[in-house]
Amino acid sequence: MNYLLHIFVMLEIYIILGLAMNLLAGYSGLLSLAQAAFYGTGAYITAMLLVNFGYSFPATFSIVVLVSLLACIPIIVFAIRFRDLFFILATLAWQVIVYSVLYNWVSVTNGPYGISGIPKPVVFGYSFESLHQFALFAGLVCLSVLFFFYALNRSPLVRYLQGVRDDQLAMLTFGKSPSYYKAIAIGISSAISAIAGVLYATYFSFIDPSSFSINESILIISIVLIGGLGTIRGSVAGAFFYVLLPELLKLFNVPDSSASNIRMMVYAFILILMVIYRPYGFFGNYRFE
Amino acid sequence: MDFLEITDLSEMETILEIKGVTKSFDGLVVLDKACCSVQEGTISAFFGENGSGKTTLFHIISGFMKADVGEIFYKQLPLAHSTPAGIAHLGIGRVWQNPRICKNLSVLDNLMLASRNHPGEFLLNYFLHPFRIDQEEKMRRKIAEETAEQIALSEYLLDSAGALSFGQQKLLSIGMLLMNEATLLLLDEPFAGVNAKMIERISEVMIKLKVNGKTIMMIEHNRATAKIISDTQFFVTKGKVIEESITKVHEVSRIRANDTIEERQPPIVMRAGQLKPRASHVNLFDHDIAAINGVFL
Repeated sequence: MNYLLHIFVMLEIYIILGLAMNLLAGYSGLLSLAQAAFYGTGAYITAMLLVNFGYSFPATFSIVVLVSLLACIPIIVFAIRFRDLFFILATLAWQVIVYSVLYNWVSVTNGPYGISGIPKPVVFGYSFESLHQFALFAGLVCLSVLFFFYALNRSPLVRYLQGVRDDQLAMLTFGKSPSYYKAIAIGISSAISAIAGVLYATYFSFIDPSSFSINESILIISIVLIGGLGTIRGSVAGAFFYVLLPELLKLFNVPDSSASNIRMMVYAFILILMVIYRPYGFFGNYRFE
Repeated sequence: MDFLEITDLSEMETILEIKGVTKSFDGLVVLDKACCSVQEGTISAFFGENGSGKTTLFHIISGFMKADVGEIFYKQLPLAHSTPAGIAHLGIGRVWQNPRICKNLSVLDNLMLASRNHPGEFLLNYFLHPFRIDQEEKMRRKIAEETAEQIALSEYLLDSAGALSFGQQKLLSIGMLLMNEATLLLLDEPFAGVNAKMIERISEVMIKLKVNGKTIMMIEHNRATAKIISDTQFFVTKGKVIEESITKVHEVSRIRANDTIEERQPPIVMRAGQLKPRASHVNLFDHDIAAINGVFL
């Protein structure tokens, strides 16, 4: 049972990360390599506020969302005029910067040793201490994020984001500024990823920089590419695929020493197959050219 | 030799006046003190050979390029240091030679995207007046449906815009300008690459727009069709804009005659390589224009 609940929590975290990525890559056409940086920023701020400063959980949560909105300003400033390859490079730079800061600023982030002893969330006196309770809490957060994306999907705003993806000259011709919508997309994506970071930090109660490296970013990208760009269903399907596949592989009795390598090979193989036979992913309505 | 001293005799107001616009690329003069004026509520056609600067003129009017020298007056007010978005807000709309539409969105969404001053455009409005956005959305949806009828696309309302034929995409981009409430429409080769039936349909739409008080400027190579529906014709040659009328045609021919007599130059032998830079400079691709304006396609 605990095993299932663990998978459930991971699923919720990756659904949130996938949705945040999809907003950038699928809706706005900006493939970002900095998702793990957003995610890590959220997790580290959570850890520091809860452990070092002893803030309450609701306060931490809101501060994390605010700070993550501020933390993506460098990307907004430097990467907003790009898209495609140059945007990927600019976000890669941000990812590398954030990772090195987390790794090397020992006095604040405790460097490679990470921060441990992060308490479980306590909301208005109710503590989500046990695994059941945490899974429920993460489920609520995940549902509200899903609802947020559902509302966004129905709002006029998403049309302008898709306009940025499809034709920026048309946007300019009709007097809409593409940069404004790119900034909105990056900001929302950063905040939502940081929420996933909050869940991650409080769930494992220990974080270290290795969870927020470039590999994590690439993994988040593969989630949305496999699931499909531009739809909510796509990110959810991608997260299911990513979280459940390793569990399926466990059925084949692969020795632990080679399990992770085989897992990566299987991912790569499936990604190649998807690109060849289903370029739109499972449920996508857009693909990169 | 300023031909535009002679003003149009009609009583209509001048909506756009171009005064001495010069544009050169790396020393190659594309527009050389070009002057012309367009009357409100007319259709004017711009003719000229490839690379004579017609599209550059449109780029300058719509703010996608800056003129080196010269001024443009829109409704008697100068358009100085304007951005493309700013010019769109003034009501100057632009259709590109290759229709620029959002290919993954439906026709309806494309029309709604272009809608002017939709409260849903700005993030802050989602917090300040969430209900007004809903109301406006419904209202504008109705307008979009009417517009689709006007441009004969109401059957394709929910189809993705990328699936439309080339001519329908051009119609759709005209429709998007209407949604954007543009009063001066700049159409870059509306008839290029579409079949005869579609030409008829596009010109029908243009005449309907003219009746509704819109001003249309178009670049066209199909002179026969363009002459039928346009009120004024301009020729762009050697960086000058020349309005076609009987006196002026005489002027032009006189100048040409003078050219041949007084300044007869030895025939210039040009290799293909020498011609190339001109073409590549003048016919800037859309992505060059995008790059100039800080966006990417």
